[in-house]
Amino acid sequence: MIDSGQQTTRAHSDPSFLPREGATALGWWLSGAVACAYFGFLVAGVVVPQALARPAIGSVPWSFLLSAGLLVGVSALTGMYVLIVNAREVR
Amino acid sequence: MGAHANSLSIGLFIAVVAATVAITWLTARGTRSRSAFYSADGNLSAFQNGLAIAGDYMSAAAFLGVTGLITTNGFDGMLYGVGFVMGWPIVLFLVAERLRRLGRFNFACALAHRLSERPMRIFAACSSLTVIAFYLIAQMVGAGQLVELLFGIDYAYAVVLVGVLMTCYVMFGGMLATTWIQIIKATLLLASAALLTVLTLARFGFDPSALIDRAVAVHPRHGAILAPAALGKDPISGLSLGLALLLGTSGLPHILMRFFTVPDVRAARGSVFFACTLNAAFFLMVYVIGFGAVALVLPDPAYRAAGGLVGGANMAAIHLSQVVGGDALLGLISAVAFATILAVVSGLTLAGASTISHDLYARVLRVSDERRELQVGRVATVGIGIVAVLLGLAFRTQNVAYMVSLAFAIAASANFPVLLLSMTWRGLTTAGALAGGLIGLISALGLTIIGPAIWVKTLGYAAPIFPYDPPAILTVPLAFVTAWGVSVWQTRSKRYALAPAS
Repeated sequence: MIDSGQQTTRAHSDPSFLPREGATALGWWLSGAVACAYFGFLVAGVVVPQALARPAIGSVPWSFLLSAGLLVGVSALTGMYVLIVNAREVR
Repeated sequence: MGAHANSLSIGLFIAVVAATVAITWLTARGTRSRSAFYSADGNLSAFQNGLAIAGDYMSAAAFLGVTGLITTNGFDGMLYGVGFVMGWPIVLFLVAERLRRLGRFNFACALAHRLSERPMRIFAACSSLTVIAFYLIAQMVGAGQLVELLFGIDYAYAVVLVGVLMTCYVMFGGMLATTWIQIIKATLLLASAALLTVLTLARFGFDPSALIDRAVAVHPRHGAILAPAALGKDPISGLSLGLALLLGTSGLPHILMRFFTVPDVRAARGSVFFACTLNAAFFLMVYVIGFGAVALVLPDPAYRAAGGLVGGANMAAIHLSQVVGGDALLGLISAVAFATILAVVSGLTLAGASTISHDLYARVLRVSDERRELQVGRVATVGIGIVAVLLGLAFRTQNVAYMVSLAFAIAASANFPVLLLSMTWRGLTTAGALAGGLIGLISALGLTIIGPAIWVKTLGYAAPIFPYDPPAILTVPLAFVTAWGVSVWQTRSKRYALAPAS
């Protein structure tokens, strides 16, 4: 046995071991949302690649528009998360 | 001198080297303590750190490799760009905050916080060094090709030059020099990419539709470059690559190490936001640069060689700079691309040296002499420099973006599951963490070796034994299940052993 009971007890009594429950749940939900959006895009690439190649605005196809949307979307999401969680921590 | 050498590009190249050496000299005096060497004493601001982290990500593979992939494969190359950025929210939501609270110098500190220290440090060192080796291959190959093409210096000498420079930065300047070189390079790269983007769009009257129409007209695959093609041909490999990029960022040792260079958790969170936003902006520009290279470089006979582009597909961005900005922009972009390689290899080398000197020497061998630890760190830096040069020489034919995806697969399979479970699941035991991490590391490495990238392209066999590349789609769940299963089994057998016989 490599693990020792003492170490586990030490970690569990340590207040810094886990962040507050609210932040943890929010983190999991948002990670799930990002993973769904990203894999949704990849699965669309597998199933309907030709639909993604169709023009959306002028000659710019849906593939470009959706991938750019993902990039802008995750930047906005991380920004909002940092603002909210940092502000909550100050309070 | 090579075909592209001109006095301006050589001058800028020398200016980049001189500036980085000056930074190293200025910071060397401040790098006397362990904390300064590993984490710049935790004195950086969220923006500075975010810029440095973004710089770590905007590597030669990202700039030259992704542009090259877009030039050859069209939209498939853009999938790499999207994947690289998707990893950031996961780092922020699940890893950065907890890591900053628990650790001190690197992610092994967080693992050792609640699990048995020695075995976890040894595991972290093995997996970190494996990830760093793959990442370094990509950077060294990019460096060798670039310097060979631009300055006519032989590939082997170019790789040795990069090896010597990066070793000096890290050995004398530690994290502070590495970070400042990264910050300056990131600023230069973003500015140069913006200039290249604007000049490319200007050729088409700032009309993206005109750019796309032209790219579709001149590319041999025409309209097919607008749709993901590789995903349809091999969906499992495509989704596997997506998973590796999504989770791999959270397991890259040189990125995780940067969360200890800021004073607190709030600054660590802010760093990820800046890094994510700067990277997203960068990859949006890389799309324009990539399709710009299709539209303007591919049809130009001056850049066409027997097997594709002069100097290989990785040189597409460099050629484009000459087309839209003449020799002046060529000189600037080449010098910045070279600075990019130097900055990224330095960060990787520092992460590798720190795992040898701190995890293995100071913590596993229990040597508490800080001065000796620093000396070991500096010797390890030289060792990694030599290994990097040898790897760069051995893997010169690989596409650089591809090699980085392999590093991501190993980071996602070995480091990420263990790190996440150790910080979020109280049931994880040391044996479970070790079993999960080692299974993730060995399976990712083994399946990569017998997969298409190494078994066929490097070793020359006709068909791969394992068909999917990267193997993350199999190895990430395998690591999680193993860590969970062994932990549960161990806890249950302990409980049975302690239960009174009835």
